[in-house]
Parts: sequence; structure tokens; C-alpha cells
Amino acid sequence: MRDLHFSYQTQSKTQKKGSDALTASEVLKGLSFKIAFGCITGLLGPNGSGKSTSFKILSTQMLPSRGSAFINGIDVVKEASKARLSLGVTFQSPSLDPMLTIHENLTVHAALMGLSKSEGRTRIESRLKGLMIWDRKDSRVKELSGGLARRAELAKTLLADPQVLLLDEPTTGLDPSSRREFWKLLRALVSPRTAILVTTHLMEEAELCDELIFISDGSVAAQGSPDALKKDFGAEVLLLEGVGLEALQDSVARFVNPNVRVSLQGHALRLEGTDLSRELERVRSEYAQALTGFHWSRGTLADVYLSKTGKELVAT
Amino acid sequence: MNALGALYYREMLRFVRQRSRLIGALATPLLFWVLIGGGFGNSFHNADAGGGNESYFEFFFPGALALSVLFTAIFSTISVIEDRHEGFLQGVLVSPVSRVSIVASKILSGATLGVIQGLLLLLVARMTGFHWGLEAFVESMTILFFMGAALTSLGFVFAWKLDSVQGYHSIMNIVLLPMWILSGAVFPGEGSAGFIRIVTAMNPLSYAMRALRDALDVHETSSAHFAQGLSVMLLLLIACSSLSISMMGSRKNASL
Repeated sequence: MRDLHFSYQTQSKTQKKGSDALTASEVLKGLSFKIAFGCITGLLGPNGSGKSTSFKILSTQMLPSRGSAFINGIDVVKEASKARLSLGVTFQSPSLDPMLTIHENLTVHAALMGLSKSEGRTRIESRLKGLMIWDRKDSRVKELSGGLARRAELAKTLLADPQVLLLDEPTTGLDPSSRREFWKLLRALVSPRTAILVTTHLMEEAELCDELIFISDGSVAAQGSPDALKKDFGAEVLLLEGVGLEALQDSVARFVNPNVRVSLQGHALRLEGTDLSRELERVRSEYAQALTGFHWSRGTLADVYLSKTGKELVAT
Repeated sequence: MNALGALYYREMLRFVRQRSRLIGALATPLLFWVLIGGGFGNSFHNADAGGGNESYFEFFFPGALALSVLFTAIFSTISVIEDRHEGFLQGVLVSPVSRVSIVASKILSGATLGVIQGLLLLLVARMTGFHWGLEAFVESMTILFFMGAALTSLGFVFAWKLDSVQGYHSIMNIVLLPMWILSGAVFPGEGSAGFIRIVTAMNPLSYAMRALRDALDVHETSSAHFAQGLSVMLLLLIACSSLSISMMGSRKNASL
């Protein structure tokens, strides 16, 4: 995706005359990123960050206001039909017909993807067996559990052997064990000729990606492997708890090593940097009266996200 | 199986698995025919009828047939809204299938189901003493097919723009049902007030109704109404399906 912009118009009442006016809300502000074959790339951001809009543009459901997006070298804006041939899309919400069986759904989808009858039959059997739901092929989708329904969705996504897989929060509504199972299946799909993009707001899923793109306010805040991002971040976080710490933020920032970043997290003071145990001793003796406790941790992806964007990811 | 065939197959599967839909689409016109047709009974006298002694029960029968097609078209296009809510539609829209196939599958399935239900009503009527020849059957089925296709394409235009089934019901009540009532299905246009006659003349369904009435009327031999009815339905079908394909192709407007 290159310099992608997306805005939509909202109607609001103007104060003067009480009439309706159109105002543009920009969702994507020059978003640019690339994803590689042979790995799982996670698009991470909270609700409203622009990741769903990016997903909709990439999956050819929406047009950007300006900018360009390519799937396997094909322009999704100008050649949407061609791009769709390379795409396998799993949505956050189910997209199988609940009144049809898994097999019937996949038969319809095989035809939509342009597969011949015999090819479709072979691939349906192969995908359902691969995802271990062949024995449920004649079950109607509405009768399936959440985990099985997600597998059926994945079988549909994989039917035409797509080179690019787009998955929008694919584990929404799954319990933790089904979620883990789904990621095992996803990991098994990684191959040098397949690129996988997963949108998520879950830290545990972000950790399972090979590459991460942090998205915030419609642009990319950081990109790299989870390990590289954590290493780059500095790896330690110190939360100081106490009374009236808001007023001490500037003072503490001047007191500690200049490489340590000091910010407020709620009513606590947040220190990010390396070798924080030494800083802790110094700060505790200098501000003994104001401090009531502390919490030290190695930096997580949530910390990295906060550090890069100034915003918290709500983990569920 | 090609994409159009696959989507058509799915529509048929959904229909046979929704018994309430089958019962509703067939039983409602049948009930209307029996209750309204029988209710008016001899109090209705249509001086314009070919035989001069046509009962309301007979007069209303083509209207009941048209109503069964209308209900089928309504139910078929409500499924556009359901498909959107159930997520199926967005799965179809990101596949390489052409928009023409998506629209055509809905229209063809609506028309097929309209013909099947019309045929069932004709069989019921035949068992109650109505007699038509093969030509009348073929002509009426042809009209019902094009009527079903045209009404489904019209319903598709509304359904594509609406996000709720409740909203669609409003459209049904203020557009589709009045369209049926003012088509000559319930009362003959000739004896109506001036403005009703104008609206009836502007209503495309009126021409199909007249063609259907003629096809089922043993006294009527003119083929002009048949050709006129089919042409108007074909025009409505072309206009509405073109609009549907155009709306569907517009990604900015797609509310998924």
C-alpha cells in the first residue's frame, strides 16, 4: 500500500444556522507498507486506527480517496477483478451461508472462484481433510461451533489456493483454545509462495506474527518483527506509583538518565529504557516521600505500541 | 457449474429449506383469492368482461397470480439484505465473479420461483373448475416469468439501497403493493376515478396484468396485449437490472 488516504464525509449541524454541513473525516493519512511472502504479517492497532479500512481497500471492498494498493503486483483500484483472483479473504464476521452445509458452501465458492466441477470437488475434499472437518462436511453452517465455523471459513478462503491471504481479526468470538488451534493452522499455511496479512488487536496474536505493522491514526507508526520491535524499544518498563506524581514528571525526567523516557500512565509515572534497576534506586531515594510502590517489567508489544503511538492497545 | 449457476443453485436450496417462505408465498395469494374473490362474490359485476357474466372470483384470479409473483420477488430480494447481514454477500463481492452474475442469479431465481408458484396456483384453480388450454398455460407462464424477473430486479434496486428488512417492508407497503393494487389486479381500471386511471396507465405492472388477464380469458383472442405486456416487463427488467449492476459495481457506495 502506497500513500493511501481514505476519508468519508459526515453530516453535522452547524451552530450558526442549525443546518447540515458535510465534514470530511480522514481515516487513512498516507498509509504505506509492504508485506512479504513466506511469513505472517500482523496489522496491529486499536479500533478506529484504520486497520479495517486498510483491509477493506486491500480486499477490494472500498476505494481509497487517493494513493495506490497492489496485491501481488496488481492494482486493486484499477484491476479489482484481476486482484481478486490472487486473494483469499476471511472476514471478522462469518461469510458462509448458515442455511447451507459446509460442502454446499464450498461448492458455490469453488464456482465463484472459477474452478471446474472436478477441480472444485478435489480441492474441497483436500481442504476439509487438511483442516480436519471432512467428517462435518454435510453439517449446516448454523449448526457448527465457533471454532468449526472458523475452520470452514478458512477452508473457503484457501479453496482457490490464493497467493495472498487477508484475514480480518479471524479469531473474533473464539475461546482461547480455539484461538490457539486456529493459529496453529495458520502457521501451517506459511509457504514461500504465500503472503498472509492478519489484522488484530490482540497482543498474544501479535506475538505469533513474523512481522508486525503498528497502525495508529491512519498511518504506520512502526514496522518490524516482534523481537526487533521489543529490542529496539529498550526492553524495560518501570511504573512508579505514588501521590501527586503528575507534578513530578518534569522533575523526574530531568533527574534520570537522558536516555530514559518519562511519561504519565494514568496517575503513575512510566519510565522506559535500559538498566532501569539503577535508575529505580536513585529515584526511590530522591523521591522517597512521593512514592508508594513500583512495578518493573520487560517491555511487551503493548509497551512498544504505547511508546510508538502514545496510545494504549486494549487487550481482551 | 459456473458462477451464475452456483448462485442460482444456492437460491433454490435456500428456498426449499425455508418452508415458511414457500407457504407464505403460495398461501397468501390463495387466501386472498378465496377470501376477497369469494367475499365480493356476486356483488361485483364487470360489464367489460368478455362474457358479460364474469364473477369477481374469476376476475380476481389473474390478480392473485400476480400477487404470488410479487411476494416471491419480495422474498427473493429481501434475501439481498439478509445476505449482507449474514456476511455472505461480502464473501461473494471479494470473489472474481462478475456483478452481472450476482444480479442475474437473484433475478432468475425470483422469476423461476414466481413461475413455479404461479403454476401451482393455476393447478389449484383448474381443480376448482377453471379450464384453460395449453396456449393459455404457456402464455401465462411466459408473462409470469417476465413479471417475476422484472419485479425481482425492481426489488433488488430497493434492497441494495436499504440496510434493514423493516425498511424494505415499508417500501413494500408504499411502492410494491400499491403497484399491484393499481395494476387492474383488484379492480378494473375503466370504472375508476380519473387520477387512479392515470396512475394505472403509468404503472408498468398494469400492462403485464392486462396480458395475463387476456391469456387466461377464453373469450380474448388478441395478442397485442401479450406483446405489450412482455415488452413493458422487459424494459423494466433491463432498466432495473442495469441500475442494480451499476450500484453493485460502485465500491464506494457498497455498504458491507
